[in-house]
Amino acid sequence: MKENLAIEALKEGNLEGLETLAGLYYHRAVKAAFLIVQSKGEAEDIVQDSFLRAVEKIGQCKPGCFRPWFHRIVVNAAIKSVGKRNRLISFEQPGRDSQAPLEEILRDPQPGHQAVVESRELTGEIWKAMRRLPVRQRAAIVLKYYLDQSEAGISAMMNWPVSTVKWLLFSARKRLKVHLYAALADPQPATQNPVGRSETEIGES
Amino acid sequence: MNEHNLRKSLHSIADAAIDENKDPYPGLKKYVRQHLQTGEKKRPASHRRAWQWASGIALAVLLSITVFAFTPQGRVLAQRVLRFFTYSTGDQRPANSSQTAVKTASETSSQVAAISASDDSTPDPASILDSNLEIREVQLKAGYQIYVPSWIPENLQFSGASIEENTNIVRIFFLLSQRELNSNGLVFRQEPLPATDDCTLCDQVGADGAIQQVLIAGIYGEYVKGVWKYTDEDPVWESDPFLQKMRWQDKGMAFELLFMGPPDSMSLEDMVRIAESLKEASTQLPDEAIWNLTVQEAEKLAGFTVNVPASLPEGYSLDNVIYNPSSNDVIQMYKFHPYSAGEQFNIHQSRQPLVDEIGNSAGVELLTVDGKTVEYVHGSWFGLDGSPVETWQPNSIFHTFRWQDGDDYFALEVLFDETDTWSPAYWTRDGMTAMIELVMGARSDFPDQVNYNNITDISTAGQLAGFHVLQPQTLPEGLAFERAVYDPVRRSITLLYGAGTDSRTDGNAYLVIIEEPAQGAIDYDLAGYPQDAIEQVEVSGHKATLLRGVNVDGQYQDVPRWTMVWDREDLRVILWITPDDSQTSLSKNEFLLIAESLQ
Repeated sequence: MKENLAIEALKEGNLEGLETLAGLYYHRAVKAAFLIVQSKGEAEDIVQDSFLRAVEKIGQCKPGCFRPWFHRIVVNAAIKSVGKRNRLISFEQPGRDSQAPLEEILRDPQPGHQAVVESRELTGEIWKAMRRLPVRQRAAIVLKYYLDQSEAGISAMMNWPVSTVKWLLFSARKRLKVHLYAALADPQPATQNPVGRSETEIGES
Repeated sequence: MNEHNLRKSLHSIADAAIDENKDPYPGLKKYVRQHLQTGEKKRPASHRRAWQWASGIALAVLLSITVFAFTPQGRVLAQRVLRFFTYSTGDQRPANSSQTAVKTASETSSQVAAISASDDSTPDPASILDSNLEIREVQLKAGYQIYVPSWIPENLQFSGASIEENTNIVRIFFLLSQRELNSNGLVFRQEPLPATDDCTLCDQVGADGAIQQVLIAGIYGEYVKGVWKYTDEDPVWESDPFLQKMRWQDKGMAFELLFMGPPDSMSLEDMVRIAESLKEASTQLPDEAIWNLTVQEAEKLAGFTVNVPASLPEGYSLDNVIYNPSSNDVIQMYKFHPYSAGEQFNIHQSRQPLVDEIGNSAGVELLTVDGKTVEYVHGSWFGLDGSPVETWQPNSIFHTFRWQDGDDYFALEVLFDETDTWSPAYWTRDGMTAMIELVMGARSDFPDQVNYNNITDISTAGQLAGFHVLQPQTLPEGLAFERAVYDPVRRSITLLYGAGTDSRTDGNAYLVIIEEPAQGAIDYDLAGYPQDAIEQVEVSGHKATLLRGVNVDGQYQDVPRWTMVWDREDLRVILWITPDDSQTSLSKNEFLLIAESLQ
């Protein structure tokens, strides 16, 4: 109800409606974007621009549809942002790794319980493995496991066929397993060739 | 790994990285508001059509008769002959009316993408990525004739072009189409053959044993599959079918094609066919604006020397240079950092008069700066996307000055929210005049003290105000002096203490101390405060009024904000602390300690 009033306010040109929508969706959207682009600043920029875009196009939003509509804007913007960055890395700057290291994000000066340490290690490896997924697979994982969308929901939200969603999720999970197995079995990072992509990735492309 | 672990890990990563205590709304609202206001000028200068000037002059003549004769504003302004602004017949106009404007920086990328493709046969890049150069943009910037393939395999799409900074090598990117769901693709590089050996693309294409000679339209080139793999020792050649490279020289140029991706997506025959299809890129100037130029590149295109201000206001730097071929207009765009709420100023320069239509109710002020007449208008057209009309807003963030200097016509657009009197990007009229003088070359330094909203040392604040500024000797943990604001009308000094770069909008607690000469009785507005929120206390031997909570637009809110006002000899002091977003604040006694510590 509050959300619908906010949307109506925006449709009338009253930016106060933004407060409700920001309260409801901002942080979750930044987190989702962060999981895709793996850069906090970039994620915040994406969400800020997505809100601007949402306000500009608010006329397209029907009551009750804001959440999937807005998440679609955010996820598409994140995919686009990574696509742009990947191109530059792939072709120009071999091996460059500009993403934030999770170790810094999760650093905790207090010694933890063994289980906590192991859990953190797994989380760290998932973070690294996520980084190595093609961006659409990464987005699919975020939509499914962070934004809690069903496959049909992802399909409707992103305008991807259900079969594509299934394929993306299947491929992503398979790759994650391969990377996690390799990482947990061998602490050394996978060898990078001079174009900045692991051989496994090239082989699977 | 099961799905539960994956879900849990993603939440854990995201929660650890993103701080939810920050209230995004103030910054977001400001960002959206600023960009919506600048969005009214979404059509850049380039969109001004060639007929505009002529029609503008004709319109000016007609309007001067109509407006001056029949409207009150016109009669008032009848004695003024405007050269650079023309009045609209009303304060509304169709949304597609032409207008000289520059987009804000956030719009730059989409603008670049929107520039229509040249007549080269490269596919439209806008559908793939939106932030790189087009063929004719790199052609304009390269300084030499570049070549583009007139044929590429169907599974590739042009995604943008760029120029390598140090080598001036032009790169054209083609990505494998979206359905292949990866970022592999082809890059085509080229550079002119130099007289010396300094040619990057003339190096050997790969390890001797792996090189294959190929014939490209009668010219021999080299082709290789693989890549040098960097190790701790020497590089090792690795035969890798996912990387194919071909180099050849022709037409006075060195060329390279590098394909990265599945071998079945690109054959040697395809690469040769691409190479044989090269043709000269169009050198014709586009109709649309060209962004991301250097000043020198813009001068080369415009054919005149661009006036660059020798000094800038604190916090501003050059963000973009744009050339608009249709009006021969060069635009320098300067942005304020580190904040990104839209504060910026743009300098237009052209050999053609820069005429702009303004709302019928707009006020035009005539100034004289360095002996030249300058027209000034505050306001702009505003219309949301999709709206059929634009409305003239007299108090928008646009302040526009226009003048002529010799053969050149100038416009200075200053974008800032003057209602945000605390913004460090705030401009005074003196500051804007100084910027005009800098563009005219009539001065070489931007005056130091113009930005009264961003005074970074308290002694300067005291000199401006003419009294000794009191400072707290006790501060809440985490707060430090950020800046002072001087109000020359009230002769007041406001000291802002916060935890970040802009505590008023970043959600952190902040402390404000306002000091000004005491005049008359204290008249702090207590209306709306309940009796139990108002208390008389004593601070360093002076009677003071202490308030709990805040009164916003007549609505009292019992939040942990403390305010105190009192006279201390000839000085009136107002002190308040605003809690952070989690509503954590000081106790009354802690607040009183800060007040007692003022020295």
